[in-house]
Amino acid sequence: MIFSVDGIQWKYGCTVEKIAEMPPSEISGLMLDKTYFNDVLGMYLTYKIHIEVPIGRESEYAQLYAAITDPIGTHVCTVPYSGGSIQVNGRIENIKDVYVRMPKKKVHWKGIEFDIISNHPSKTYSLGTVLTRGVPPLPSETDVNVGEAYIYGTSGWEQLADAEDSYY
Amino acid sequence: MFVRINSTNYRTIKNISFAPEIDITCTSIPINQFVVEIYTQETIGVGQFASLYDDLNNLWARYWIISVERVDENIQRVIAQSLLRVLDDYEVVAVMYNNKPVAEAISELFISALQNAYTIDEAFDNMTLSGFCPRQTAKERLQWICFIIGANVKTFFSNKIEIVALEHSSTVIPKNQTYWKPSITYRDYITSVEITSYSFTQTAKEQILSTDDWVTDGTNYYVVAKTTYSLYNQNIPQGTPSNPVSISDVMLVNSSNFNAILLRLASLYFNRNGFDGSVINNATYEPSQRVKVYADDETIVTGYIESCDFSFGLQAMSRVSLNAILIEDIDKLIVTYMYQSTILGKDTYGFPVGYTYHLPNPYLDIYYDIHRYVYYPVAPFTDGTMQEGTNTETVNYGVALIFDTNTNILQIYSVAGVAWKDESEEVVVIE
Repeated sequence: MIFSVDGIQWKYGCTVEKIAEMPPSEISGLMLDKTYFNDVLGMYLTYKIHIEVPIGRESEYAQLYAAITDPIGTHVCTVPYSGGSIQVNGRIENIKDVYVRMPKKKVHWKGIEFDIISNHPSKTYSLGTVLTRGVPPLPSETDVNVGEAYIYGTSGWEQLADAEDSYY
Repeated sequence: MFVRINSTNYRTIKNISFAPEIDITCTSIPINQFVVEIYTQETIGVGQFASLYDDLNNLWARYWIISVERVDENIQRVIAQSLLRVLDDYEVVAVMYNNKPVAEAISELFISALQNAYTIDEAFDNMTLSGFCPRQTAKERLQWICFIIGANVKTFFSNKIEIVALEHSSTVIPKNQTYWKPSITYRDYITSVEITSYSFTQTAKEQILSTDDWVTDGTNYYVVAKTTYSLYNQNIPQGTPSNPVSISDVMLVNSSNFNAILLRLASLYFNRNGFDGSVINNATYEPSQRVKVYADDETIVTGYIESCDFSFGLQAMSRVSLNAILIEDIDKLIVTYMYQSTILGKDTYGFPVGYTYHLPNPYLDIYYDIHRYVYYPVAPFTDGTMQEGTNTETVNYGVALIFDTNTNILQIYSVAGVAWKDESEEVVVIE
């Protein structure tokens, strides 16, 4: 499966273009020290999808078209992302498909292109993180001592038995 | 931002309008309100509190809902005002004060249900009131009292009505928090301030003459004598049309306090300078606060914030309007942050000559390649007095933490102690 829209999967030829945008909020702007204050709400994904309908797959295409053109506010889409896939809840816009008639060949819907625009940020930070960005939280021990070394893994911080094991 | 109503947090908000203000002259008390448009299908009722919070759970305002309108199938517009609105809904009886402590007089304005709804600055502890107040709304009486003692009433960033004195020390708003480009504004000249002082002579009702001006508190009768005092603005161009400010109806002005009130009014009204600009404002700056803010690279303005009109993104900003009491040219101060012989960074400030600065030295969080260093300042503050020309200061640093972003190893080099800032914060405070 390349992608799906509201549970309807598409397994055939298509091109997927992924666009990540981090639009500045309305309060972003130029400061008096001539720096730009970039107040970003989050990272939003847009997928531009172009599919070619193979001959004989018209019924699958009709199913997909019905899902894409369903006039609801949010579509649940599964799309490629990095090495796997993610779910994007978004709106579908700019739907366009082409009907062709070739000489001596069967007429058919050639292909469709549409945009999936996420309604929610795929990545965002809390106000607290933005204002006080710093090192990851330290271990829960209350008396951390000079010279100690800790390593941060999937289960949190672990103290290295021998500080020499640290990089330094 | 989110709104809490009756233990429910409404976080899906379409629009927030919040522009708190004060009247620095104390001749009025703005009620203040916020308007929020909330996505919800629940029915929100009037006559209950709505609290506006930011995403750090800091309270911005706790106001009383006076109106709810369904503007769309899923959107309700809620208007809430401060408890001053409630003070405007009931009247208090006429009273003659005779050296009445301010705290007692104010306490009598709040109904029993609101006795814990306010605080009074201790600067007013030893002040008293003498004079007459007619039957009036509790809010108007409060405004009269605040006018006499020189208090401002704050109804924001707190769950209480705060009666406060004006600050004497200034907070500096740095250039990197000030939007391009603010402006210094000028009001019309005020040519004079006039104030009417009152004295009262208790008299039997039958002895009051038809030509007498008199008042009663319902029990006793008093003949009123008035005297008007004026202070003229000496710093106006010749030929400026007369434009006086006159306060004549506050019967708490008397022979003991009129002079101080007149001088206070003159210091505010004779100053025609203002400042309008926008600043990044995550509840950092508020009306009534005394600040120093840059107008450009050569000028710094000192004044009291009179209003903040907020706009929201992830952070918040506000348009600020200042009553500017001082405009000064500035010279440059360059603070260089050093670790041994390495320059870690620099900050540039602008202050007027003679200004005594007390600048916090920040922790520095710097990436070099795959390593992340946290440096701590050896001294927590940089102190000094601005001299003419470019001033320089050097701040020495030590290494607190080094974090290897490849191996995820954190090495602690030098800390006095480590503590959680609070359970929700993902940052450790190094003390």
